[in-house]
Amino acid sequence: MVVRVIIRKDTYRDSVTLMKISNKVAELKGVLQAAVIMATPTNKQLLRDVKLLTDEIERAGPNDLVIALDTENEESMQIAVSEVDKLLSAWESMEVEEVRPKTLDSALSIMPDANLVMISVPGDFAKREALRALRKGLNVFLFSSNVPIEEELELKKISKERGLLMMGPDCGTAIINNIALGFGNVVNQGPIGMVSASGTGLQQVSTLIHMEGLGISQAIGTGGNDLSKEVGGMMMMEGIKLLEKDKKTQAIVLISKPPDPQTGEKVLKVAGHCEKPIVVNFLGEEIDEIGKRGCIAATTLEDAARAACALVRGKKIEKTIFTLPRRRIMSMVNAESSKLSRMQKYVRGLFSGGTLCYEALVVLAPLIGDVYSNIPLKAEYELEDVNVSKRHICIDMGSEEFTIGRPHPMIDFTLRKRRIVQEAKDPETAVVLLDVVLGYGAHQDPAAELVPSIADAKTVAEQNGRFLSVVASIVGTPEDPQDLRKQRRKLKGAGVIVMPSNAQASRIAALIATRGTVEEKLFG
Amino acid sequence: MKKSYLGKVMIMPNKKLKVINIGIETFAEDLRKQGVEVVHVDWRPPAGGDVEILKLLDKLEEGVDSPERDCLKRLTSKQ
Amino acid sequence: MISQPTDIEPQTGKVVISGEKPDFSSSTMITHPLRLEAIFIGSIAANRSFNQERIGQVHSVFRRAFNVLISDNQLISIVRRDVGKGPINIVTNLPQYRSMTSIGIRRKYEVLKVDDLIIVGNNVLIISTKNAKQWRPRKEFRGNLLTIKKMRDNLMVMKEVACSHGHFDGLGQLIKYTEDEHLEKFITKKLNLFARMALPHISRLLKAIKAGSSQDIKRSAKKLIGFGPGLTPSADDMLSGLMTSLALIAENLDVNMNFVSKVNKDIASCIPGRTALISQEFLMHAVAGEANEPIITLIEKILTAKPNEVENAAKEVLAIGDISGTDIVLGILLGSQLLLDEAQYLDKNI
Repeated sequence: MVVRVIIRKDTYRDSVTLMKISNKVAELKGVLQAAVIMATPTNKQLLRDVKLLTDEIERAGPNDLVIALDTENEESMQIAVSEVDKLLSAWESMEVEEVRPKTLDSALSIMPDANLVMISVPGDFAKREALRALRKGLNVFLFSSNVPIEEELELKKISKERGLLMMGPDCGTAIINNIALGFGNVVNQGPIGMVSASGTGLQQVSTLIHMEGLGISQAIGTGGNDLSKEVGGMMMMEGIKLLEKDKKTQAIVLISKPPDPQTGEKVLKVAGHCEKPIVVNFLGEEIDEIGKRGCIAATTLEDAARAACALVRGKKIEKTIFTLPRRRIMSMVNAESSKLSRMQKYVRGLFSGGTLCYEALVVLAPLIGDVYSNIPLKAEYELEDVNVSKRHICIDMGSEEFTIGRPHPMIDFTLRKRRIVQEAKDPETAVVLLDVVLGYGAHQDPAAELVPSIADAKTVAEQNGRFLSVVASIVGTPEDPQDLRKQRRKLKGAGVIVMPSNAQASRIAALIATRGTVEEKLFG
Repeated sequence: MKKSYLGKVMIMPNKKLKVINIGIETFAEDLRKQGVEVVHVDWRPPAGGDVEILKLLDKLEEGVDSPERDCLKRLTSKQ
Repeated sequence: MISQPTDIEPQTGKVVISGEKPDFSSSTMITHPLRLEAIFIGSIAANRSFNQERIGQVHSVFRRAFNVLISDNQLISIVRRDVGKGPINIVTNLPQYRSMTSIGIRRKYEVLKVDDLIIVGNNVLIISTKNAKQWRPRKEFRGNLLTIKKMRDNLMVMKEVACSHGHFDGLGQLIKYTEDEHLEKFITKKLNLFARMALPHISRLLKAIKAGSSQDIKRSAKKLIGFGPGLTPSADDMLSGLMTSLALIAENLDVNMNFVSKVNKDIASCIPGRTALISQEFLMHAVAGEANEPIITLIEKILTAKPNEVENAAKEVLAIGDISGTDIVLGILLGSQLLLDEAQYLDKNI
């Protein structure tokens, strides 16, 4: 007689199956008995008496299940045990397939040690889901937008209390423990931490840091409304404190569109007390406060990235105008602008990322004057009809008027492609300025999408005795699924001027459109 | 002393992210491509979009965070 | 506007979608939330869930029922219609051909109560208790008491039904091999391992009860609690049957209630920590003569009804659980015999 025991902890769920399994196994040849017993003291004593008490069973409790097999010989025992295993796994895989969890709770029963919940449900339901996750002690990445600001505040209060990350609402990007959440790029791990209220801003900075040869420790997304008056920068301040404690972080970059003044001050105060050096980019807003608090102000995202790298390397912080030498830049400018017809004079920026669009506005303003937009720097430069260009424009095609009922332009290029050709038909368009964002979540081959339309647009211009200049920057890394280098090659092949950053692309667009007349202004 | 959940995720650099994804499935796929364990939740609007139930549930959620409970929380968290 | 359930009609439990699916069918068949009606709420279940917002968490899920953990060691059982009434049961209108395992409930799901509704998980299951009747296990039997002789005859009927309809993987096998009502002579060779190992302790327990020796009762009880196969260990089910029958028969025959009460309390004192939580619930209630309705009904029929009614009642009990029913019947058999002997001896006016 050979007896073996198989222990199953926490098996109340499949207890019925276990009985069925043990009954089935009992029918096998050579099996004398198959019993399902609880690991109670008295049953353990029985197992002890028949010399079957293993350490594992000893440690088990009265609510744990044991399958005891009694067979004629060792051979039957092997068969019986393997049959039990087979039946158990068949049941489990059937169960796992059958169960596509429909709630957080059911997901937690499948993965009880989850530590992050990513939520992208409609805004009306977002708070409920996020609240549930926070109450379970889980960090939250909340992609959903259109969440009332009071709800955001409530969520962030709770997350602060519990020491959890509440990234969002309206958070599209984060990098946690070297994993890209949402729309994110593949970047190296390294000594620079980030807290950002802008998704594409985070992407631009992190990819540039990667291209500089350094990396990101953690990049915490706060969602677009964190630095509003109501929310008061709660998540950004928590993020700063966390990165301060994080051993791997040596320098910190903060990014946001211009914050509510009071909130901005609060955040800077916290930043000022931080032991680690902090670079602040409030998208061009030159706040004296930044310097006063001992932080480093950066006007562009690129400057922020390079400043952080310089801090870590102990080098001098420099502002970048262009990475290529002036001579090279001007010869590229001349090559493009010499082909322009007289009437062509405007920059037409078509952006998929709101932050990049905003940054372009900030960079262009001192160079070519005010630029019209659907997110203008000044109210009087709001475009009356967002579908009709007027003078210089930079439009955010990821904003609501373009995306209702459509996928985001980072994924779906239909509207942008159409617009590129539309601009080519306008005799006053000199330069089309584009951002191309790579990484997870983005289109798998943006260049392949854009190139045909760019070719069409250039042809349209040519047929009408004009030349359409196209300038683009690519936010990405060679490690991204789309591979930055491949994308660059494809775009260059179509005659696109590809610049290393959005700021540089904007500057060169201004130079081309003005036929180099702003050169002195730019280089100083 | 307040338990630092975040510490579990961030301050221990070897800690693996284990994610539950609720909503858009491509996010889960992108995580899996990065080698992350993800459980995707097939989310549907709660209560089948039943407004009455939703209101009752909201009422309940508010109740959980009532002042009395907060007070209790504060009392019990002071060790 | 309240959405209508698409697969179960609330009042009648009639199925709208046809086609029986096996237990392990895809839960995508279910449209959430599934809405059930509670038909009966056991008195203890009512106490435990009354005025709570958060009742607890799902503890375990079975074919016919799922348990909700209220506090560290208390449960409520939400059961399928055919399981019937019990002190901790909330009986729903989930019909017999559906199983609780296939409706999408999982362990650790939160169970909340909002006004009349019990909400399981994030709206996986909603149970309306609006029309539920409270059920209290009865102590006083209905109907006139039979003579002791007729009661004994009924016991034999019960025993015969058990022999033909029972399951014998646990201690219940002893019913089959009882030559002698007092469990002294046995064909031990034919007994399964558990019945064989338990036999001497059961024997001693009965002796200890008759002698009124608290110490010996406890010693034997400790050897039995938690013992045997099954999710509710076989010996526990036997002890539940034993204690319930002792309590109820003593109550109704007006025999030695204090004594019986003491015996049950002695056994009960040995329970904590020795067995699975679910089993513990049954045992603790059995102490007071409280049990699921089929068990109470069977004991009642033994004392008051005709043999064919006893037969039917016995079949109901035998259908409980997988082997539980048979073990319970063994307990009822032993407890009843004990007290009927006592009653006869004292020659009460029956």
